[in-house]
Amino acid sequence: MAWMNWPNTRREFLKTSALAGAAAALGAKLPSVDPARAATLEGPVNVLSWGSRNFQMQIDDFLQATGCHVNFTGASGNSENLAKIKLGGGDQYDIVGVDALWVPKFYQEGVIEVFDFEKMPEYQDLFDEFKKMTVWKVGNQWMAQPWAWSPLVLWYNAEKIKTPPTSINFLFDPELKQRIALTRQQEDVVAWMGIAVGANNPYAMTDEELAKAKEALKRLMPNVLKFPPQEEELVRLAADGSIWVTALSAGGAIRIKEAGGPTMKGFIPPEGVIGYFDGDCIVKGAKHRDAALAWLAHRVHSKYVLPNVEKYKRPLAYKGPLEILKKDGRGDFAHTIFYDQPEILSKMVIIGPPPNVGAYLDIFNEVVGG
Amino acid sequence: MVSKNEPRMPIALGLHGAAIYLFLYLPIVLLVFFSFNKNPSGTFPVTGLTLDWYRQLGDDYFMLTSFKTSLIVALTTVPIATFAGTLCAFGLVRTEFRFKTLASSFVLMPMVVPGILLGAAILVVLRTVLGVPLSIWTTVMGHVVVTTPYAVLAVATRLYGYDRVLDSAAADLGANPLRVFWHITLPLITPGIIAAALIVFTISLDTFGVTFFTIGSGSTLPMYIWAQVEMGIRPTVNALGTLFIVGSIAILLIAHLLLRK
Amino acid sequence: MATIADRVNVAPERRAGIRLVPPLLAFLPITLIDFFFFVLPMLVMSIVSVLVIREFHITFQLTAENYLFFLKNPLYLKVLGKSLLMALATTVICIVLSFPFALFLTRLPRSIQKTMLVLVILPFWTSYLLRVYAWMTILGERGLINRGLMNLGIVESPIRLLLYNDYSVVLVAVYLYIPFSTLALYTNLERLDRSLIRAAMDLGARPIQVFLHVVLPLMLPGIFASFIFVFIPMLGEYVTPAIIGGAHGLMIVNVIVSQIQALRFGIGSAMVVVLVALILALVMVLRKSARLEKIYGF
Repeated sequence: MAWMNWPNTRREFLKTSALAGAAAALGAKLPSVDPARAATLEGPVNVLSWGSRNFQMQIDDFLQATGCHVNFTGASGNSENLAKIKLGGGDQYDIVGVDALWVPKFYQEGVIEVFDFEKMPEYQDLFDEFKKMTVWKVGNQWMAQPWAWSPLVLWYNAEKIKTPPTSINFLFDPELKQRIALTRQQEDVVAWMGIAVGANNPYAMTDEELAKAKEALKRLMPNVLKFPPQEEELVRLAADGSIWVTALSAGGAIRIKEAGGPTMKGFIPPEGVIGYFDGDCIVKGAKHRDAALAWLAHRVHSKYVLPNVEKYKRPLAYKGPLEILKKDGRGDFAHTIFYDQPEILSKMVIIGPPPNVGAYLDIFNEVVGG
Repeated sequence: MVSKNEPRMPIALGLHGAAIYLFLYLPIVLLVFFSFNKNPSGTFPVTGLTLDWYRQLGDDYFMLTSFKTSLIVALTTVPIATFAGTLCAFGLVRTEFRFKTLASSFVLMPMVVPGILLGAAILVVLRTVLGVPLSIWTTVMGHVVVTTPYAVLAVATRLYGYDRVLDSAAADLGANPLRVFWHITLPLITPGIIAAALIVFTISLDTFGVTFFTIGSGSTLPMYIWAQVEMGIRPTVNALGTLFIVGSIAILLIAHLLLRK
Repeated sequence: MATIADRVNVAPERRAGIRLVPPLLAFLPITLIDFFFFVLPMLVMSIVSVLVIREFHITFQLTAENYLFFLKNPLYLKVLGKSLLMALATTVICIVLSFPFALFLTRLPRSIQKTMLVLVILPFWTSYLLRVYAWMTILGERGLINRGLMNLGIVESPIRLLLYNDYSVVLVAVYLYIPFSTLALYTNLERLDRSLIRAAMDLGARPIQVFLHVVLPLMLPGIFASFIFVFIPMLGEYVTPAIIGGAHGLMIVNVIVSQIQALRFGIGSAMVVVLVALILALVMVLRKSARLEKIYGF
């Protein structure tokens, strides 16, 4: 009799029926998750990542569609994440969020594994600049699924700084005494100084360049109010007028305005600007690999990416939201956050772990502690 | 045991006491205040009053799981740390043996190492050296290590504090050691044990350092709050903090009323 | 100086032959747990600190480089010195503020003393991070104090000195640790034999002499306990200096944690070993003079 063949738990039922439905909704067969094998989609998906990549709505929908929970642990830093997974084992997490050039590092350390991103439907929606990227690829397999990108624009308080800056050296202006704040990423701070002293590759500086960067940092110190550990702090400081200059992603000015702050203008130094693109990776030895892949496919659905852009005000690697914004007549919002200028990607100094990271750290500690 | 007339409270002393309470609770009051503030940055200026942040808390699956994990860890840590700590207190106060100074230093030593560094070292030992999987239990053990010294001191104070004459009096009257313990010692040191439990619970709930590396894929409340603040969602954690404070004050008042003799 | 109380209060088990718990058994649970979760980790750290290690690749070559890196560099020693100073300042201020406060608590009606005591710890039940952030809303440029001062017309522009420097770190640290020193001093005060004070005064001592020669020595266990509960954790702080400290807000554990972030486990471990050894040495030196046995019995 038919009823004897029904799945015996409500969960199983949801998984088999809903997963097939979800696959249809996403427009393609989910890679490596065959609806017929849906019973193997076991969760929960354990994610170690930054908050700006996941929405409650996405998670609820995923739970509905697959019966899998998504457990999200806030990441604290690329190197801590690397240490935690490498020392603690790949079975702790299924997905880890990684920034830019840290991705190849994670791969070299055997902490993540490649997957077939090109088979996922969203691959088609990637900007060409991303499709052409080789640093995240091994053959045609990808180390990470791209998510967001942005230059770290130097935002300055237009009400206090009347003349627009023309060079990165404006940071050393004595008028800016204790009016600058940067996040406490030691490599990034030193890299900014590297840009200021004309280093060839600010994230792989020679000893000479490092010495010059160290001097530059010493000159910068009187102008720095603090190095907060969290980026959100920069928004708050700018909003309440404690600082006049900071480095934030594309939507910095909008976020500061919304926090009740003054009008900020963006400055991209001709000497160079730091930028990033980030993504999420599958952890090697992940316990719930299939569910993790399903989650990656699910979360870049157009339903979710647009709200994410609106909330965090920086571009994603996908063209979909840009088209929708333009159609909605919000092209200038898209333009303000650089969404329609992906060519900037090739001009940015991409963040990543320097080969001589100890030297960077020592410079930061010695200048800051001195 | 105590002098017949209660010593008086000079006005200066009273003012100082009030001032310290004010000092202690000023940030808390602000926290509560901001949890109703419409301003999404959770600080000044006040743009309006709202209950939105509290509503959002109810839907927050991450918060609820983190809270549950924190509670489970804390409630498991308390009996273990209190028990081990009480035993140690007996060992240190009630016995004489050659290496007592060494033993007491050993017991108190975990207080000396910063939590996050100990956590990383524990991770290495558990995973790389011993191959033990991470779980709630590994976190609990980490918490026990960090909180037991406090439990020892809390019980030791009480254990040493009461008049030993009572013990020997009972013994003289013919009670065996077990009866002495059960009827005399235990009731007298119970306040110390309760204090120890309370301190262990409080510390365990708020410990971030040891937890981060030993929790595996779980998340506890301090980790959740750190992640939320990192994302800039401060008002909901303000609401959470407020609920905690209100809840614990309520429990305290109820306990006070019930236990008044 | 042995008092009559000391002689009467000698361990009854010695007199009456009661011994409930053999010492070995008493320490068994904690030794077991501490062995795996404290001793072994510390051992591993000590071993790593003398090995040549490059990121995750450990060799078994012995080296003193990890220690020399730290000890030869005057700037790291400067940070250590600054951290010790800040921890000391925090401890002293905590003790000075807590002593009258503990006294105040002992003078409260007995029925509410315990409750008032718990009220002192209660703020700990909101998260550490939230309490630290709350101070920014008090001390910040548009915080409570500045707004108040500007609204009252006392100052024209916000006082920027209130926040983001070493003093604000000490202030917030005092806030965070004062409940601990209060508890430690309260425990000691409760146990204080007032007859000794009365005796001293009867013998003609002035209040200041009574304080210095009678009260203070009797409070040594509590002061020592405050030291343990305040100085040591404060030295281990890295979050508060990063949030509340200014551009130069760097304490020793910030430096150590940053070594871990740079995956320099060898140097990081060496720094931890030195820090722990330093603290232990301090504790042992001070313990001799603290006469802990009077209050804690050991």
